[in-house]
Amino acid sequence: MKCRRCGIDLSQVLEYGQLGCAQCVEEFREHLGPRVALCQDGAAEHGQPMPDTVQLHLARRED
Amino acid sequence: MHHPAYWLEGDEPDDIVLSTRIRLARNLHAYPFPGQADLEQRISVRVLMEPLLRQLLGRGRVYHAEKPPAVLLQYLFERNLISSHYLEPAVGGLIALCPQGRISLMVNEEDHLRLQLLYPGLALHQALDEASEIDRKLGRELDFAWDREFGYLTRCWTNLGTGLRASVMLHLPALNWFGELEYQVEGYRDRGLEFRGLFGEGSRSLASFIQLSNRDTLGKSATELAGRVRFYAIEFMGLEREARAVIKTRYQGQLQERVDGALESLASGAPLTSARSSQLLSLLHLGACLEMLPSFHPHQIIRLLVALRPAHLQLSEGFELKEEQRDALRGRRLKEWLASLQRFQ
Repeated sequence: MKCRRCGIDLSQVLEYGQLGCAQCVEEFREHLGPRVALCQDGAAEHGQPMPDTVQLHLARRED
Repeated sequence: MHHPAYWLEGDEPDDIVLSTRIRLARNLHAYPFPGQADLEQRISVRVLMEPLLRQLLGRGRVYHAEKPPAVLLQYLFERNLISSHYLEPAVGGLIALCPQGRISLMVNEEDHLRLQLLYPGLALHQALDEASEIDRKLGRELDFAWDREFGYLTRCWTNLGTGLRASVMLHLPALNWFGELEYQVEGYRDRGLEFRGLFGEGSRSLASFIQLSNRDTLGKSATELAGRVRFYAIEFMGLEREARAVIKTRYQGQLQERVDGALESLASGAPLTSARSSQLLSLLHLGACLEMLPSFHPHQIIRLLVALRPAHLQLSEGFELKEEQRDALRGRRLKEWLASLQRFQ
């Protein structure tokens, strides 16, 4: 299974813990969630966007 | 070129927390991340970012990463201004530095953009505020890759979310004296912290210098993550101060012996490797902090430690030196430094 934009293979993403491009998260989302949570083991609220990140992002969109 | 790094400026920074670093990782939505991008795409990202970074930094310096001589890149690395990534040929990379050396931006490193701020002492929130302001300015011009679930998207999962690495450089010679350093570090690993050496990722702990940073980047705000690092940095400062107090009251004789031994080694002017000189200077730093060496200023010792790193020595001489030549020069410089201090005693 490959990312349709950058061509990276899912097995490579999972093996090295690295994304190839922004589209990879859309392509592989269901596979990424649990693995990312494991890697970021302190991320208790995984699945919830971070307040700062969201605020910054929205502020940027409003500018 | 030869003034101290910004994080080494100031007269009386903390003698335990030497510096603070905030790093944000960002990628552009429209391009494959550097590890997956071809040369043309990497160059396109650089072409897009270069004018923005020049405008942002004003009179700062901008280098295409494949152009500067290796010794200059090594010099920037020794000052913690760039990552080890640029020590290898980094085609399409770009390094932008503000005139004071407080802000550095790296293009096409592991991510499209790495923004880094370095402050003297413990200044996590101050550095984070400035980094966030720059991030906001750049974000108005650049479409950063972002996801509702994973936050800012980065090449490595370990940086997803905030893309933040908030770190402090600690000098913990007293904990190391008691053999407590490794033990304490292990004890803190499960609290979402990461420990690295003097030169960041992949570097070992050298002469009691440890970089403490957040390990997780997702699920908490940047402010919370930096706050956690600050909290534990203060805890380590407390542990180190306690250990220093114990040395001062119960082991001063032993420390004096070791310090005298270090002074003797330095006074001989014999060749010294960078690692060995760092160990000796670390010991003198502890002695100076405990007021056993009145004419030694602790902060000057740290400055000297950086100034004796390989690329610093070569640039100060103006030509390339082999390892043996550097070791010999380092030994001579330390002997001269010691002699100059003794003249003022």
